[in-house]
Amino acid sequence: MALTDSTAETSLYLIQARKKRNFYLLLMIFFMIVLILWVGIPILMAVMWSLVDPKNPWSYPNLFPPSFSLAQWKYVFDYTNIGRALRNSYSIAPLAVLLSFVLSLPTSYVLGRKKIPGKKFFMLVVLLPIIMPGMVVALFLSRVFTAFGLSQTFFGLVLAHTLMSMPYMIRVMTTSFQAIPQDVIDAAENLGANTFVKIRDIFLPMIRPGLLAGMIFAFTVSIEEFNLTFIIGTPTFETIPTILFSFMGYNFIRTNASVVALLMMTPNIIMLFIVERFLKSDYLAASLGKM
Amino acid sequence: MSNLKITNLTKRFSEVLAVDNLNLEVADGEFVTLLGPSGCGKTTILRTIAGFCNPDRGEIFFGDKIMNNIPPNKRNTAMCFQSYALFPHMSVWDNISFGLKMQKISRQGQKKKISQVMEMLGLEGLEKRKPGQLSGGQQQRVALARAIVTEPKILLFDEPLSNLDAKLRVQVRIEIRDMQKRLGITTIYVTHDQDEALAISDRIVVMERGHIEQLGDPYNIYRNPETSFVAGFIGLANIYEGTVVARDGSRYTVEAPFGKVVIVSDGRKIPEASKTVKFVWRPEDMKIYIQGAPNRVKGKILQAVFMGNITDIFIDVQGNKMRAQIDESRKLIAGDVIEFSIPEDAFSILRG
Repeated sequence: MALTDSTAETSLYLIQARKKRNFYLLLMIFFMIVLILWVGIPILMAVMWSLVDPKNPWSYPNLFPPSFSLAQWKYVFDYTNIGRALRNSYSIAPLAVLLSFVLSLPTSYVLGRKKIPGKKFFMLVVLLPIIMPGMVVALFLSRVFTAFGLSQTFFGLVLAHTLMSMPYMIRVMTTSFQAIPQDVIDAAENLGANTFVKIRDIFLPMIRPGLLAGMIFAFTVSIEEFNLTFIIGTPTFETIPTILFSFMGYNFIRTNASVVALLMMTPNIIMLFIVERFLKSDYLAASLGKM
Repeated sequence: MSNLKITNLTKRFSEVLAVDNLNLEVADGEFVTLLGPSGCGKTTILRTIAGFCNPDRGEIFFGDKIMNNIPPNKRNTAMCFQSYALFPHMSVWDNISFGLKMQKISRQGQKKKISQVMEMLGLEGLEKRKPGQLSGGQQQRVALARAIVTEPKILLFDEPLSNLDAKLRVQVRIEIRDMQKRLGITTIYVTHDQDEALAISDRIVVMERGHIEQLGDPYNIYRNPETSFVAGFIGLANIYEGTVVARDGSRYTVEAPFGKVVIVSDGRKIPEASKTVKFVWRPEDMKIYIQGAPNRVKGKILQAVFMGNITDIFIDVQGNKMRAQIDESRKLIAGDVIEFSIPEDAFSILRG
């Protein structure tokens, strides 16, 4: 008797669990569709626009361009400095990421692990460059850059991009530092680790997921940075965004803009997938939970 | 020779006096437990020994060497943390070898020591696992292995078993004790669990609000508590006050609220006549009255809880509540009138 009761209970529980799982599956499918529409359609549109054949314009009521050609791509590569811009963008970005890492590391360490008065205030100050409108920051910062003779220089641009990406870097790394339990650090010291060993063997490996996330942010910010680059860099230095913006405004050329947009976006997406693989090992979750 | 000596240790955290002028000597190879409620300063002492906490006043000696200005990584203590504090990004092997690497021991030597310790603690086969892939008991053992493999001067435990379930806790504490005995490492163990302290220690330091309430071996702490705090914190206690009305050698007659009791003093505390004394006896000391037994008390059962091996009884003796735990085959129910006797030597006289 007792046995049948418990079997009935178990099967009821299983049915409930299955229902719940079905519900989550539906919810997931719904969001996947929304995501595909939201992200996928613009990308698809960009691809189609970039392949429009100038002899056969794409216009209403055609759902797809009547014929495809690489003319727009050829135009962008022939008549703009896109090659140099790509080179500029992809040499500035890694340098900016590196510099922003080096500068953010001590800041994040202190904000994440030390008790200092006014910590909340500092965290807010760090975020200011993101909160303020980009053009406003650029307008006033450019004056500072000019005063130090940094405008129209490569180093100036690296520095500018570093400044714009640091808030993200600091924010993410501070959280990573905060998440490391003090006991783990104490344990290392107790076993004989000095400061150098603690940094090399404990802190750095444990903040690695946050560090990689921060680097992605910083890299993306640098690749996309327009305002400050435009004011202090052009015309000496062109980057992908400055070329992109040149196709906008009063003489808006959607087809060429699409080509540049794709050029800007694709490496970022590839990089995201690569880094995603590194992020797999979930150290912090392992150190905090599942005890 | 004492391996660890603490003199006049004082530590204040803003308004709270965590440790108040504490003195303690621990012999070589001894297992000493700091026992007390949370906030009594036991963890502060442990962290001071490890070097994570600077005392306001007082000295820490290892042997005859003063340790106050030695940083934690040079003290050669090994600590087992409540949270285990394993390095989550390292394999079990790398976790255990960490301390040996710091001691610059050759790869060959490391291998030998680690294999030995892993075998001793039954961790073979887990070398390549990450801490996140281990059960709580295994994590605890890895933490223990990581600590003892370095052959520390002093082994420190900060409530190491509180994250384990009850059965595992008993098992691991036996293992810890065995291992400590075998290796002969001086050990300081912090816990708030009285059973654990009684089972594992050579000596127990009962602490409250930063000072030592009583120091002694488990038997003495339990059988001869000196203060009502110790009596109440360790085990169950019936505590009463009474006036000494007669004395005959080491036998005293005390007038208590529930009647006269005869106490045989253990000779340490001699109560004076007509003085008020506080005394304690354990619930399990109370026996069902048989003809001629001393200290007869008669009361009504308020509540009887059958626990299998014993029956836990709350009785009312002329308005005074007391607790008894007896091994009685008869079923007892609330409302029954029952007669107990308390052996004369079951009592301890308390300081305060």
